[in-house]
Amino acid sequence: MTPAPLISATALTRRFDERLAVDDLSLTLEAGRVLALLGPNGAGKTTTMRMLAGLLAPTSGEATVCGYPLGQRDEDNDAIRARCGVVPEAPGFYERLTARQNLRFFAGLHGLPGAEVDRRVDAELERFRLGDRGDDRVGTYSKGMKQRLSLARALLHQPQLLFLDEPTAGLDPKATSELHQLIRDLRAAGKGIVLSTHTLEEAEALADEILVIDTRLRFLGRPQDLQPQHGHELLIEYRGAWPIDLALPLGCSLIEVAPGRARVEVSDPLLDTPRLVAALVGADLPLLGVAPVRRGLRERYLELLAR
Amino acid sequence: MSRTLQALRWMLWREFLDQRQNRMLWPVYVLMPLIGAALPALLAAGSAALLSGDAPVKPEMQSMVNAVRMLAMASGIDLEVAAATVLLRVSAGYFLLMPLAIVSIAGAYAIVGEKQQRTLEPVLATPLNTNDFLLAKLVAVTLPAVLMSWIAAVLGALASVVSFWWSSGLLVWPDKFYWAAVIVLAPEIGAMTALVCLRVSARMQDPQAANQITAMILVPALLIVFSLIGPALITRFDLLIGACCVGLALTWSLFRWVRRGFNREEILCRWR
Repeated sequence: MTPAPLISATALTRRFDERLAVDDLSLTLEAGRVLALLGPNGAGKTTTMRMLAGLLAPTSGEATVCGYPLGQRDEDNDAIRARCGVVPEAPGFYERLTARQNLRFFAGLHGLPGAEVDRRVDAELERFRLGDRGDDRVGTYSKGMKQRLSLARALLHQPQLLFLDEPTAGLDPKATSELHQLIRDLRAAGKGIVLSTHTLEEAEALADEILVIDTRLRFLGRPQDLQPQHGHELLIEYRGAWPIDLALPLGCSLIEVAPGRARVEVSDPLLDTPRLVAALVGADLPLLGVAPVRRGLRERYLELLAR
Repeated sequence: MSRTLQALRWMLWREFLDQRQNRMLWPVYVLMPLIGAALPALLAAGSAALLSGDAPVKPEMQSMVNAVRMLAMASGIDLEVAAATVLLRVSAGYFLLMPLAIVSIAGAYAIVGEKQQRTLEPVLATPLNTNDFLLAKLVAVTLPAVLMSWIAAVLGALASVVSFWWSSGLLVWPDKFYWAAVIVLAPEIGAMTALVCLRVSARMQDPQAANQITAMILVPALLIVFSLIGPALITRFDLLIGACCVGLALTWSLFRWVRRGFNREEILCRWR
């Protein structure tokens, strides 16, 4: 039997007074999968995460998170929050308290029994290489350390589902790489992860699915599905001048010519590429290479948002 | 331990740790109890002045002089002892102001402080429900002020006994009016102040503004109430008990009002 998805949402909508923050959003997420939320600032990523984490009630729509219906009943929302870990955009710690005191507090609020609190706090501090600074006030921590501490806090109660809101913002490359590895490890351990990010490469590298949102859903699918669905480009490198009077075969159209390189769009790469090469050779153009242009995630993403 | 009690325990633990480190609170936490401990002794020592001479009694003192005479007549005690007793009852008023002053400062930080540190979202992301959150805040803000008031009142009572015995050779203990006001009314005023603070604090973005608005609401209200019923409260015990009951009902109603006004979603989303 297929296990029930951790998140199953249908037509989630959230309004703030007259402003529509999220409109008609449907998605599912299974255990051991990473869903990346992409979208410009104010697109509704944080609102979506807050709704799914039981922090905000949707204005309309339905969702089940970790087996509990999301909505108006406080008991269900409490149960959802008990099974989710949240890394908010701003880490948010009691700066006058030490890291250990902060973690003990949040472990206590999550209902961990007394003896378990210290064990889990020590384990998370060690996991995030903060053990030797655990008794320092959080106010003395760097941004990267606070971000690591925020992750430690989110994992204290061993949640089934994690919401990471721009977790690598402000981290140095080493810390970012460590965090990426942690996300992979957590996914391998069967956690479901919802990751909000502005870094397209991060989404492509980590996510099993990408959701592009700009109030409404713009795209939901695998990262490789974000590649162009229509039209293909070839990059032609050559010596000399481009033959101006060259008639390109049917299905090929010239996009751009620059010294030594031209870009041509073909309708069907398998059929049109040999025809194009034959035409270029026939026109005595000294060819150096013909290669497909892989349009980047960024262009596709901007194209989706521009629709 | 029930979930609510456990949440309360951790919230209180954290609040006390944080308050202990908050230097803004220390001057108030130290100065007010010190003044409170000294005040009854000063008043008891000055009781002779209340009765001395033939100088005309000022109108605002008339009710106190009447209370002294009534007490002396009703209890068959010495006028001097009656004067000291009534002045001690009056000094209990300070222990009603103490929680108000301390709580209005600590309470102003209660929610705004969380907003400033951006800790509200992580706290609200735990399974802690709104009632537990507000109850913990209420207790955490009120309890230190009440404990300090009680300690200061006990020290003040002891000092007044010594002071009066020193000046007149008579032993005068604070009576039931003093203790009822300190033990019951002071926590109620502390709790009511804390609740108004929480409601104001939830809608503010600056602790000082929250503190000032709370004071603007509470100080005139309490001044009006005490100027109207204060003189009666030092002479009629049934009225004092009635005031305690009304205080309890008001505290409960205020808690419900704060609970209704605490919209965690609004607080999360409107704070940037």
